[in-house]
Amino acid sequence: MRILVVEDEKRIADFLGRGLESAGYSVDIAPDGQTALDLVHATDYDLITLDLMLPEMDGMKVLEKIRNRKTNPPVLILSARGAVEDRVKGLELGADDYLTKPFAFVELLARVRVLLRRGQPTPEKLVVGELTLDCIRRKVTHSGENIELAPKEFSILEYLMRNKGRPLSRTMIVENVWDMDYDGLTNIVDVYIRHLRSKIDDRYTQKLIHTVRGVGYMLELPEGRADKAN
Amino acid sequence: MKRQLFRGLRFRLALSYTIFFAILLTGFGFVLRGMLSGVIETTVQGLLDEEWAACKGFLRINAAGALEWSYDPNDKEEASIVERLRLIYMIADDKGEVLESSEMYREMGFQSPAVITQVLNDSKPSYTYHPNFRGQVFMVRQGTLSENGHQYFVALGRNFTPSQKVIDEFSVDYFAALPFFILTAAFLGWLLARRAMQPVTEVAAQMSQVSESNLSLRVPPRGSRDELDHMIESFNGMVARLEKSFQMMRQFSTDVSHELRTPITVVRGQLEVAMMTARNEEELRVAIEGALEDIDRLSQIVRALLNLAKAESGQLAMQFQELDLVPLAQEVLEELEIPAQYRAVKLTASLPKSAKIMADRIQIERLLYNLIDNGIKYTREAGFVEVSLKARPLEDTFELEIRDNGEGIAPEHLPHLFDRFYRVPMKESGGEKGLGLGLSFVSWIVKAHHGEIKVISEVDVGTTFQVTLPMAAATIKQANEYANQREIAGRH
Repeated sequence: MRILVVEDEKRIADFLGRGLESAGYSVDIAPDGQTALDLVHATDYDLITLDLMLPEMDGMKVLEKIRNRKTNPPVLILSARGAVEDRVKGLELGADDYLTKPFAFVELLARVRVLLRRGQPTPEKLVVGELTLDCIRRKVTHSGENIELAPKEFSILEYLMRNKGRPLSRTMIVENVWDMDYDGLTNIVDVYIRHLRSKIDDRYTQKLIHTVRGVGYMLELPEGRADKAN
Repeated sequence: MKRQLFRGLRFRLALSYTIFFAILLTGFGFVLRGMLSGVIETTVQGLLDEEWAACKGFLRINAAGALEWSYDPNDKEEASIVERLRLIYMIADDKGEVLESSEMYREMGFQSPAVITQVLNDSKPSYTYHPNFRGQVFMVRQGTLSENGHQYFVALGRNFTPSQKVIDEFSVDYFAALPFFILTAAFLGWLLARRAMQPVTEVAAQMSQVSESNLSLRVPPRGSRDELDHMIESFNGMVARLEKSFQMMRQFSTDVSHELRTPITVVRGQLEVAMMTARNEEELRVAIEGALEDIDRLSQIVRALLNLAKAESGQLAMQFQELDLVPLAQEVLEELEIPAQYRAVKLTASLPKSAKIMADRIQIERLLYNLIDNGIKYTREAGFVEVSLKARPLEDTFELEIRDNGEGIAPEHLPHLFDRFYRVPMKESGGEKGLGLGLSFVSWIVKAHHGEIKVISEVDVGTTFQVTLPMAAATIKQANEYANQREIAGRH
């Protein structure tokens, strides 16, 4: 998996490169928009992280030009501009995710993992061990038993199962399930996870929902940790 | 609503209308009454004068003082005139002795001898009022009749009561109707006040639409070029100024958060990634050192911001005193000698003997330090920085120039040079980036000293900062002395 980091602040680019490489990705760094476009032209990237405040060519322009090309890698915007309008504009222009500086590196990593999974076809039925989730009929069964879930609980479980084996931050869960970014809601994620656990994990020996320290939550089979890196 | 009713402008306007009308109508009533009684009085006096003329024709007094009414008793007209004359009259001699009087006159009582003497001495007749015990009032004409070398006092009276009654009736009617007039005036005033206040109410409603969140809204002028339009204009002007300062505040907080976010991201990311990837203590050490450097930079930003915020909000106490720029500039130049040598920059100065201004020493030192240090930083490697100070006696100012031969500043950046956090993008990257706050502080200092700052720059040639500061009052007098100033060459 190849990631392009577009970032003019050398020290940020530095730690991003080292961090992502240590997570198993190969990383190229572009200090300005033109270099970024040249690199995108020459190489097929699986993901691009894009800073908005770039010298000469603005990040939004770079994004537009990338989007005009045929290859369409997911773009994660990393910006010091945290205003809602900037976020909306970035997402409208075709960015896939938006992270405001300063961010936790583990959060970035979690988002990168989810974005890299995109594009794969989504099955109608998600199965993890004994747990089955029917996306169309919105039904959940565990070992053949029906499990009643509230709509939000269902959405969280669906999100966790789709990203089986990838840690998801509380903010990511809020953004996906509640369709907004609102820091005040991150506590509510813990409450819903507690409910989910009481319905899915507590009665069965096989625990599926795991807490990932410093990040958030992850759903996986206890023995299935091998595919974590991707 | 009730509170508004009694305190409102409309109420006060209507009230003043009403009070004005009440005073006007009352005054008018008194004037009318005065005019009426004046007319009536003159009429009665005229009648009395006619009677007097008749009296003079019919009354004879012989030398002994005996009275005689000479008329033809058969002439009915004459008889009736005399009869009427003799209804209310009194005649006295010059000693005040009453010679003859009528019944009705006696009821009123006679004039005192003193009054009689006074009337006799006067050339003109006088008119007085005399009441009788029945409550009737008579107008009396007191005059002098000369007959056979003697002077006699003759008083003729006429019942004034009916006339008085006319005046009184008029007064009663008028003042009884007055409250009704005033009430009408009050009502009309209330309506008129509403008409007058209507545009104000409308404009107020429009004004209340303007709030913190939509400061771009303006109240459209009504186009009548009146006081209200004037008010709308001042209001719009005020909102525009508010909007500008709000924008500046918003921009400032955006800038600040942006400036702080980047170093925080670096610190956080560096440490996090080091924790994940560091294989030995040395690598952790390097990460921690990097983080500490960034934290240093962060605290520098915070300190600079705090200073600037303090200065711009007027919390920075300035102590203006007479200050000689020359030794101060020499001090700063000496301090910056080492950084200049480090970049092999030739630092030269041309200063007069002295240059006295009214200034805050700390701020001026900061200004000099910032500008010269900037010059050293941005001039080319092994370039030069020239500092020159000249008196401009005609303008009563000193001109400080700091010139470098660096790569210059492109014209599109010049207008923003003094903006906070504005950094001119450098051709060669990797150089130490400034905070972008120095020049904005310098510009504030110059403003606080009533001076001016200008930048002249040409790409690839160099940049010159020109600061003009007013001379101290004392030095203006000695301006001539500076006209042939002796320039002291710099130490280089």
